[in-house]
Amino acid sequence: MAKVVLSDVCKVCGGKVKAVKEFNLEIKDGEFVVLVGPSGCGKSTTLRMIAGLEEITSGKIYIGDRLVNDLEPKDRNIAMVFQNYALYPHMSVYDNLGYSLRCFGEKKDVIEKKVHDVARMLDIEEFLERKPKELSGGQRQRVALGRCLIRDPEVFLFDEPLSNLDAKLRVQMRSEISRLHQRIGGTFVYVTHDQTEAMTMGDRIVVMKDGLIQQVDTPENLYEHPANTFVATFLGSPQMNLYEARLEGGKALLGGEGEEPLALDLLPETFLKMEHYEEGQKAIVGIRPSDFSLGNEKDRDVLVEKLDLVEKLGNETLLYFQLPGRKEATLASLRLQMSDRLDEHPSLRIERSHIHLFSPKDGVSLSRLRDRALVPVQVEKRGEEHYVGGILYPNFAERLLAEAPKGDFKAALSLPMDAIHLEEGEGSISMKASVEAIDQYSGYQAIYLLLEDGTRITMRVPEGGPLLKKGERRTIYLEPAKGSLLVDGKTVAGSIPLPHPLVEAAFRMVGKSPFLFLPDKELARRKHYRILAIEDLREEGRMALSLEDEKGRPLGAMIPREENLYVGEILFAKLMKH
Amino acid sequence: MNSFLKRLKEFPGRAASWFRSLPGRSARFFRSLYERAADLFASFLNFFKSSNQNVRASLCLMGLGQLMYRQYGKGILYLAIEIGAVLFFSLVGFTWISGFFTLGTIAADPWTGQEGDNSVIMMLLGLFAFVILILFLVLYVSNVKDARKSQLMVLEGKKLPTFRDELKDLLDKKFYKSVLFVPILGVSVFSVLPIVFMILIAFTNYGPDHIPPNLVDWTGFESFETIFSATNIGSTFAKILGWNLLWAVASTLVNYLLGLLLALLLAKKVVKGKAFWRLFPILAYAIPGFITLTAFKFMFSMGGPINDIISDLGGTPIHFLGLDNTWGARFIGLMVNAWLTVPSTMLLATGILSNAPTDMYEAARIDGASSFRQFKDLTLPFVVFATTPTLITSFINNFNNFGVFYFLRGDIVPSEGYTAANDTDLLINWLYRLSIDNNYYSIGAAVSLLIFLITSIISLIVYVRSPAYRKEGTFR
Amino acid sequence: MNAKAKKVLTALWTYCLLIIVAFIFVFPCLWLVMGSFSATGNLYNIDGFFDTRLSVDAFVKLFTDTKIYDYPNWLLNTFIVASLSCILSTVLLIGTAYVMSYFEFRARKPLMKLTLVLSMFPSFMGMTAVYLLMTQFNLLNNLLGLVFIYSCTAPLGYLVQKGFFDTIPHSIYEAARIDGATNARIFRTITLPLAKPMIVYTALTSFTWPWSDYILPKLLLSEESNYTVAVGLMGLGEEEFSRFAAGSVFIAVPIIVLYFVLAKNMVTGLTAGSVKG
Repeated sequence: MAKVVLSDVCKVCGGKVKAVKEFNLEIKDGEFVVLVGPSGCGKSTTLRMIAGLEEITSGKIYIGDRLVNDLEPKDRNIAMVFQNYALYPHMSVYDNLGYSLRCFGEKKDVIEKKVHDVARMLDIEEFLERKPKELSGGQRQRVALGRCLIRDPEVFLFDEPLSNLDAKLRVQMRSEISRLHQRIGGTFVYVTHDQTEAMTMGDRIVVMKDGLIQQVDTPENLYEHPANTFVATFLGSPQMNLYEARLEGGKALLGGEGEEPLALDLLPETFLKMEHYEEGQKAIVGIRPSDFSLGNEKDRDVLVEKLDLVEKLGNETLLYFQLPGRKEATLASLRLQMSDRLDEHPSLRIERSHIHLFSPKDGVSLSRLRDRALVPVQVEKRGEEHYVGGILYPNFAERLLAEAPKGDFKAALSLPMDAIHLEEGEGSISMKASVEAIDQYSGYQAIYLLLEDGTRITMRVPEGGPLLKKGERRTIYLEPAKGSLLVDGKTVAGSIPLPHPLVEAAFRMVGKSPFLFLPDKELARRKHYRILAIEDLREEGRMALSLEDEKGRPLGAMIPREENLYVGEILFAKLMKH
Repeated sequence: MNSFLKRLKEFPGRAASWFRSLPGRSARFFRSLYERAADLFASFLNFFKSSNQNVRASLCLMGLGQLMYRQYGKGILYLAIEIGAVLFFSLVGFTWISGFFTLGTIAADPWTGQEGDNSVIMMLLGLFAFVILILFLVLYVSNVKDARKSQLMVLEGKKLPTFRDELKDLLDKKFYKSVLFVPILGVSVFSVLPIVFMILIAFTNYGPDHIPPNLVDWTGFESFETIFSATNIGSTFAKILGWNLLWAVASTLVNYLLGLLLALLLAKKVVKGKAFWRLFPILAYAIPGFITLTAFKFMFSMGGPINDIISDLGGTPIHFLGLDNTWGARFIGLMVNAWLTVPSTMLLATGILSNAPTDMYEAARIDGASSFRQFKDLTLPFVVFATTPTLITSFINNFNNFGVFYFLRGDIVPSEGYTAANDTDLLINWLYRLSIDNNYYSIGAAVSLLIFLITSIISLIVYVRSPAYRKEGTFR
Repeated sequence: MNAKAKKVLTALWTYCLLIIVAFIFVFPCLWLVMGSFSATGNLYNIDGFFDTRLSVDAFVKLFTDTKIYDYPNWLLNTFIVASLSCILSTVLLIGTAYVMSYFEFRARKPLMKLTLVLSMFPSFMGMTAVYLLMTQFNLLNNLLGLVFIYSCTAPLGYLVQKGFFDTIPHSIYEAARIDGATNARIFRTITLPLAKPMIVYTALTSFTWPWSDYILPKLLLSEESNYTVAVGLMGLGEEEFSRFAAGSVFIAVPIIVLYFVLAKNMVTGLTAGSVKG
């Protein structure tokens, strides 16, 4: 079994359109990951890139520990189930199952045994002699599954395998695939556009839109803590209701201009989770239909003036109405007891801890686990080195992206989640923080922290980690080395850059004596020089070489950084003018 | 129609502006051409600078770089190709190519027994040498590219493929190359080469007075001038072209409509035993064309059965396919052609009709559409949509329908006012008579080029205006 | 008029039309068949369409009287040319069509455009050049020369077959690739079995074309011993009508039988070419 890692994978289709953009995901060994999103979001393309059916434009894909970018599908140790099953129509079920073994040159008796084993496992033994067209949809699906199983691959890929089945069979096959995963424990990557399938099957779900990952998490976390309005409305049925609102006095005021606003009390914690809060700021309020419940005259948030429609589904009752002063239709899903009476103007309560707030600008959740923390720091220059918050900020020159202020300056340190710790580590800045709020996620806790200078950051504490209490003061430790520096919102120093492959290749030459071609009018020479050191001048797009000729005389040369101007043992360089 | 008139009115203005903008556009074109060339040169320079010695070795001598990378099998293969090419060009290739340009210098002289140059063969061999030259250049470039690929692979720390790996790849990733090799070679030699040859012939004086052993020369557009001049050939061309266009339109329409009607008739619900009724048209379809055409010629001949019956009834025999019966023969040709091609149209239409969505008809019946309306509004658009590509091919086939009049009236001598053709001949028949029977090769080649021009322009226009092109997706 | 009467009337005229159509198509064939059994043999001596006296003389003469018209030899030549070209053309054509349908490579679009342009040239425009080429290759008056020309130009007509291959979903090929098959193996074990009707159609058309072609053999074969049936039969005049008819019937019958047996594949082939062409 193997993990699957996609790092910075991009796919450009037809020259321009990016079908998949900067896709980063680590799928753990034995995990069931579902890629979900509307059609055209790039989920199938991603899957086909893992399978090796589409070439990737840039980035890397690992299966297990192997880089598989250039491997043929058959060498990747994967198997795939296609949407239309893609059974070989002219072969019997037996031959369909045995085809891959025959391609790999297995012996006849081995094939026979394996085919029968798999057929028994999937309960299709009696159909072995039939052709695919003589089978029902569900049976064909099973044959397709069997064709995967027989190879005993490390990774199983599913491309919308159930969308051709009718509703009843779909539910049955869904559970069958889940059971299969439990039994054989392989790594499953499953693509679907159906949110129910995603929610019921996946250990983790990757929600995609327009080639971008929107959120990756367990089904529970996606449902409880959607990262943006897209995820919020895409998952969960019926869909979440969204309203524009103003936040004022601890309340969300839902109401159009000049209307008597409907005020919803928010939990005080809500405001502590937000990165910034201004009185009167706008927000999008999201309420799931199931978070409505029947109230009474005294205890109610909403009094429904007019019910448009009531649908009784047995276990739940759907109410369609308009909130006072608002035009958009609201949907509430109530679980009514026999004793409950629904009159013409029902009073409804709203579960206040489940009110979601999103930014009106980009739809991002206001109370979410932020994937980067921005901490104001002082940058000091001591000698050639730079120090951030009193701690050495390594390789500053190399990270430098734009003209950074000279000498000391103030900057914001942008840190990824894994650079914030509760224990002290080497080269980390310590800071005092108070725990403002805690969100319970499945698998971890989201901690909302307030630093002494008033900055709010979040961190993730996995299950089994130290227990934190609300209101507690803790020292946290930040690793500046993993972060980048921003001045006025612009990055001036990047996090340690991934070296360009050609730069890497050049660095491998240090200490060696390659054949060098130095085109200079006076000194056009081609000789073996020893490379003493290489300095990567990112900013100039060049690398400076310190060289030494056979007689030990020092020499400097420049080579272009990322152009393909030096290859193999020849380095093409320009003499440096001193 | 209105839009057509409008466009007609706009045409002079448009043409004027087109010509006015010509200098600017051509300047831009040449500038971009220059830029492209500069780019190409720069990228080659860049390529050369960044190459290692192995790539440069391959650049100098095919296969050397591969040998230096220890890819012996491939290297030796490339080397052998280069040696073969050098041998070929030094032995005969260069002579052939130079012969292509001179088309021979030594005229034959029967008195001295001097064997002259055969210009036509020289041109053909020259072309052949060009084909080999192109092939060689392609291989040369592939050789350099291959060495470059090895260079990059070494840089990236990958293992170079062995000769066996690459042979295996010819059955896998590069399977298309192995499969396409023979067809491309065959088509180049037996189709492209002859066509290029004939295009070139159109610009020579290869004709009755210039047949080897007499020398043939490049003459530019003289053959085309002859065709468009007021000579007998020019008037023949105009007459034949007019008739040819009429023929193509009429026969395409007749075949298409009759075939469609026949298919609809067979598709009627009341018809029992469809397979049986379909046998008769298929019978006509299956018999080789030259047999049926000759049989029809016999049937309509002076002593043929139809004239027998006419004389039995007391009439005078009619010379149906005779020299004087222009329109009668043309009409017979049209009908005979229909007899030959309607069956295939019918089969095609049957196949398409069986794919027609039945709910469309049910909806129409509920809406109260008469069967004629159903035909006009549903069947016809659907079938036309599905068959536009075949309509174009069938038009072109009819435009170039050689067989019908060759077999029916091939032995009829040239009509009055025609050069080397009779009044039912199509351009393609004329082309045959010109070049095969009367040695007017260059004029024949020029006529071929004009046929090509006409058919491609017509099919382009039809294609662009066709419903299949304009509303793609309506019926999918 | 009530509905039932209307229905009967419709059926009546439909069947009348069908009978007329069948007559139109069958009559010339019948005439030819009857002509081959004519005892007189000369078209001028037959009064009306059918001879009153019938015999099988024409057939006997066809195979025994070989001094001037060596029909058995023609038949053998035709058979050799047609079957060899059929095999070669089918292989090349199916391969080309499959590659053009399934593989993505840089030269694909240019090649497709080039074939389109080539198909616009009149079919025997290059006839003179082909003749000259054949003299250079020493293949004039040689049946193999014909075979080469037929099979080497056959791949140009790949569009029909490509239309068929385009209907095979790519996911089947992809599944096979994941299953570990090389492209050559996919072609052998998956494409070919799936394309059976198309192969039959292709083989049939590439057999009948040389079987019944007249112009090319006429041009390239000048020695009588190399004649194909088409060239030979065309030399027969109206006086030899029954011999012509007998010879025709003899080579038309196998083709007709093939067509009838394989009629289903014909429809597959014709529609595949039309819908996606």
